[in-house]
Amino acid sequence: MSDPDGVAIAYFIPEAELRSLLSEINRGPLYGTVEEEGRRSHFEKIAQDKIGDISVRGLPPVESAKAFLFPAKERVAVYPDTSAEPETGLSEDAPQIILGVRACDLLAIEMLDRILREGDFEDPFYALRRDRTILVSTDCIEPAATCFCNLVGGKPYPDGAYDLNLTPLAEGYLVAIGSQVGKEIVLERAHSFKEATAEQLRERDRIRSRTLDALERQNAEFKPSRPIEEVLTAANVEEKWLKLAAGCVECGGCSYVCPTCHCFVLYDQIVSGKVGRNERIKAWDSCFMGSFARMAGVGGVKTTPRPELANRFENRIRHKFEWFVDNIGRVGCVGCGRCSETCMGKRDIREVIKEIGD
Amino acid sequence: MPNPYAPRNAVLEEVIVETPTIRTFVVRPEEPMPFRAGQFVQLTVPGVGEAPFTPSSSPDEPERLEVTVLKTGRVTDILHELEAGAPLGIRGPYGKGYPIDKLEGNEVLVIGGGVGLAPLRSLLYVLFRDTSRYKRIAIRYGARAPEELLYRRLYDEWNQKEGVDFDVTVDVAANGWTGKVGVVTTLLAEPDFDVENGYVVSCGPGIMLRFVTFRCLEIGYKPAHIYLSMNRRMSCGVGRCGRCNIGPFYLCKDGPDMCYEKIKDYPNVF
Repeated sequence: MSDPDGVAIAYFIPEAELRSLLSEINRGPLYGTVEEEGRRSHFEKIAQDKIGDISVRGLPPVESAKAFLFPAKERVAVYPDTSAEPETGLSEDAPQIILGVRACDLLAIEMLDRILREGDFEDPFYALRRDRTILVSTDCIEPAATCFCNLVGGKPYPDGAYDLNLTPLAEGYLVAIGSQVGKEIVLERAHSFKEATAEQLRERDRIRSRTLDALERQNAEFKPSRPIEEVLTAANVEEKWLKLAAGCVECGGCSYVCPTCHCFVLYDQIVSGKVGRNERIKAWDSCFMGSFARMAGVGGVKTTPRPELANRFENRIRHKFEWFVDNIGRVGCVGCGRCSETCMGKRDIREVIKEIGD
Repeated sequence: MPNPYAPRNAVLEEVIVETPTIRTFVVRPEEPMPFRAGQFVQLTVPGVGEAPFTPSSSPDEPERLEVTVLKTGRVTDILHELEAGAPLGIRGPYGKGYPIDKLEGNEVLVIGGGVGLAPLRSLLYVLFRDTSRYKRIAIRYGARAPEELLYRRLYDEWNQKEGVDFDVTVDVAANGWTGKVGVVTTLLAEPDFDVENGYVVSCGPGIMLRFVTFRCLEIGYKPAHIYLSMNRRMSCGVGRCGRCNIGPFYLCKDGPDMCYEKIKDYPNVF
């Protein structure tokens, strides 16, 4: 089975071959998921001699891949006399490789692409990083207890948007090609790959439906009575927002871990040790913070349109599940469940949506 | 790839003291910055930060922008200390601007509150290019006190224009004020406006916009004919940083002048 260029729908690569392939193609920074005893996997910068430490078989990583494309904090200008070219530290011939990205995070990156690249003003920092990144995704074989991609139009395995996707099998990986870059990597090292056998493809299908079944089971109790994008428009929740926000301590953690949250603030400061040179920093921000939309103003004037937690909670939930749909055609939640894991108030987003719908 | 976050160099050419708390800053960008009335710029006080302002000058003068600023916060406090010759930064223009096309052939009611008259002034310059294109241009303005009235030097000139009438009120009279007293909506008490076809364009503090909107609806204006200049906190100016939204709209990108019909059913409008 192959496409017109002679590219098979999937290849097989043994475990050891994948490691040597990675060390061969890696010219820029390589980030991969690693697991430590008793902890969830997380992304780490992988040195050339540590490629063996990468593991993609466990639970999804604690953080999404957002920060590799949209760092928590970066300098976006030095002025006066701003230099024209945005600086990202990545060069064209040494792209960064991110290995272990899950389907939910790819979906989020597709949304960030639309939000940050389309329209009158492209975010050049995001765009440059995005163009200098190779995304190697993996199927989830074991969802976390908080995962619910199946409730928000996702699946535990990717559906495009990757350069290469790996499905972990017992003895190695099935590799699917998702882009020209991915195709070149495979075709230039054809000796490392074998066309997947029918039995291997069946094994992939079995793994995928097993994971999907697990998700269906663990989320059955949270399934809203109607499609999630209709829940908010159909529900009359005006009086319920404060109750829904119960436990929220306004830490903003949910925004920072969310793979689709893109709000930021720009602030200026003097470049350290250089009087007369100033820099502008772009840093993640959270709509839960009372200061987020606060304007300048004297006492007695209402200086923020959302002074109460209930206002901000409504804004966040409706933005994710209603206004994302208006603006880019799908809910702004990919079901990664990281907000539920992070929440200091132990609030599970699935419960919030369920309560709104009930 | 152009960098939308980087300021361009500009120079503060002149400072005009308008009131004890409001000054007009004449800014000359390195390159002319063509803008449509109602669009805004992000003005940088170097090393301190930036804040969004809609120029109060005419779009016919893109090489020299006036911004009229109330001293009321971290950036504006320092801006008010600056003197002619000071270096500044500027980027923009952003937003859509006033719906000039819709106003043509109709009566236009311009309602300003406090420093909110500043963004409306650039609209007035566009309307004044040829007042015969509008059925009538009615300007209604209110400030807290007589000494807070903005652009007092211009009122007579505006009033004398063909097809233009200007009325003003203050919340609290003082200093020998002999004019009207009351909030700006009192100027809409006995309306002789064409509420059927006319348009309202208003700018001012949130609370004033709220009462102006409700009063205009009460006297018969359609929500689709009320435009509010919503100048909220903005950081990026290009619809990405998230803080200026009303529902799915970003005021920086979709406004800052928003048709009330579009936003009226979303939370926290005022």
